[in-house]
Amino acid sequence: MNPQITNLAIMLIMMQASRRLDMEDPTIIFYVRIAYVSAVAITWAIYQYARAQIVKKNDLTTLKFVAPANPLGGQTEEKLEVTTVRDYDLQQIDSAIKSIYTGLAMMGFMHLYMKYTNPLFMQTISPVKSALEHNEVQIHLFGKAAAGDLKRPFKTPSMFGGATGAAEAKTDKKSVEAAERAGNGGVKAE
Amino acid sequence: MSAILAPLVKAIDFVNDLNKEYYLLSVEEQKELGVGGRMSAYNWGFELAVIGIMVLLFLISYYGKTLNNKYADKIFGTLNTFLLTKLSFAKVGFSAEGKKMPYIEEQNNTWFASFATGRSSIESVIVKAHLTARHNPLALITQKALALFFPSLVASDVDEFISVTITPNGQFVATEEAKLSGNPAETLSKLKFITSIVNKSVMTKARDSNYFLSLTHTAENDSLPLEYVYMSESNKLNGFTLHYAGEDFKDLLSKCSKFLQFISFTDLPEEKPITDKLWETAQSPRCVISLSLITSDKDLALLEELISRIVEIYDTLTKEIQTNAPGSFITTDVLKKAIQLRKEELSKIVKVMQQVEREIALEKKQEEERERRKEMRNKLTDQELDKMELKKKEKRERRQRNKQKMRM
Repeated sequence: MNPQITNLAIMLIMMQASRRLDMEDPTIIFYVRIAYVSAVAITWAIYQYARAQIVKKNDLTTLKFVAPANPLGGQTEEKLEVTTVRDYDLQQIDSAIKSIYTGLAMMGFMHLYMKYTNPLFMQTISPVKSALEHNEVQIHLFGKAAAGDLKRPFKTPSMFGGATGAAEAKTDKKSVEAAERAGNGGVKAE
Repeated sequence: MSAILAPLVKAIDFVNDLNKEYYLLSVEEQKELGVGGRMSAYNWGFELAVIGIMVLLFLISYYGKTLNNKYADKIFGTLNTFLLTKLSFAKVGFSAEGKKMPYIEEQNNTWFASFATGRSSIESVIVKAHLTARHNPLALITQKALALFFPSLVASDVDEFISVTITPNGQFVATEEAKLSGNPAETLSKLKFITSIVNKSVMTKARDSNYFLSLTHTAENDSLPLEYVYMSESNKLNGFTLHYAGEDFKDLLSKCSKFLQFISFTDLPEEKPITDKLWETAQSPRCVISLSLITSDKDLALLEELISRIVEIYDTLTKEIQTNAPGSFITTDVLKKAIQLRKEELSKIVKVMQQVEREIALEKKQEEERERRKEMRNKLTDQELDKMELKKKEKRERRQRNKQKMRM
């Protein structure tokens, strides 16, 4: 099943469960905190293990693809990415690890400063689930082959599965060769 | 919002409370205390803390500048001595007001440069180094934090690096008394191509920041150590460096893989030219060695070896071209392809220029037309204006009717 759908289902179940808990009770708050910290620690450990595996394998095979435009990231045109499997994997896993820290900061603010416990409870399952479903973890922890859905560069997951018209990275020879000789480098920002 | 600002308000209240009793004193009571009394009654804790922070910042700034200068002294001291003694350059470094300077520094000891000239085959060697602003740790931390979440907002040249640019002069002389070659321009014209050896860890970054690399094809090859790829404008040029530097150059590349970013023989500029004039002026055959910051004796010795090998390549190549030696790696076919690529790139630039010119001309024309209409309206009487408005209205209605007919 599509991970996004299962995430949604887990969220709805957790919402129902949280309604049955007294979030003002210090004992419940204590256990929710333990559950959240454990979930974060497990997630972090999974990603770090996958990261260590990537560094250990040190796969320096060259990977060339044309990344789609990303206006939100300040990239208005398609861009050629020339990297190695190792660097691509590290970039992916580092971005996942960074998202743990962002989540921690957000939850810290919401729980310690704003005194909400609900978001903490909601975030006890999904980070671990996301970590286990992460493409890099699938390849480096579960030893799956980097083919099909796990072929690099990874496809952007869509909400309801299948093609949604979202731009994908181009890997065909023609697009890559055209981007290679485009002469788009050395453009200095004014 | 008030909840977010609460810690700030608390901090301000704490600072104000330090002298709560002092502020409660009336003017008369303060006068009675005298200067000494007022000094002792006032709590100087906050002021002392601020002075302490300022002293700390000054010390950090001083330490940062000293550290950068120490690194620069090491890098340029070693390389200048090497260029002067081992590679026999006639002039190394700078001199101003009768004082010799091994390098010049700019922007609070973050940019450093040195220069060497006066040697057979080589016009100049320019060594540049960029070091981080160690004198300003607060800015550094802010930059790092910003780069973590918004990488596109941070300038690309914040990293520390060293770049060595070796420019050939097309004149090879075997001895100091030997005569100069008649036509160095012709020799240099045969050095107009791009071939590079790029470290795999910086491939995209190198292509993004160097125009000449963004025109090349990336190719892996067994003749190179695993950490490197070729980036050449034509696959035939891939073997250029190893052909002239020898097979043992591979070992040197392997030893340098931790810090060497790329070695590129090129004639095109680093910055993309936007006009045909810039295209013409920015072309200069040279070799660029780009590397991350190194300060250890071992790494600097490897860099010296790299520079020495590149200079040797230019020596051999210049001599080969001047003497028309048979079996040269740079064939007419390779040069023809290189010329063709440059023509295509120039035509792309000219096309963009013409498009921009057309857009500017169109904007100007539209502006003139607006001005003309405005002037015409100002000259008309009220009756004529009404008549014109009526005509415009009729025209709009007629168009509307036609559109409706079309839809039906």
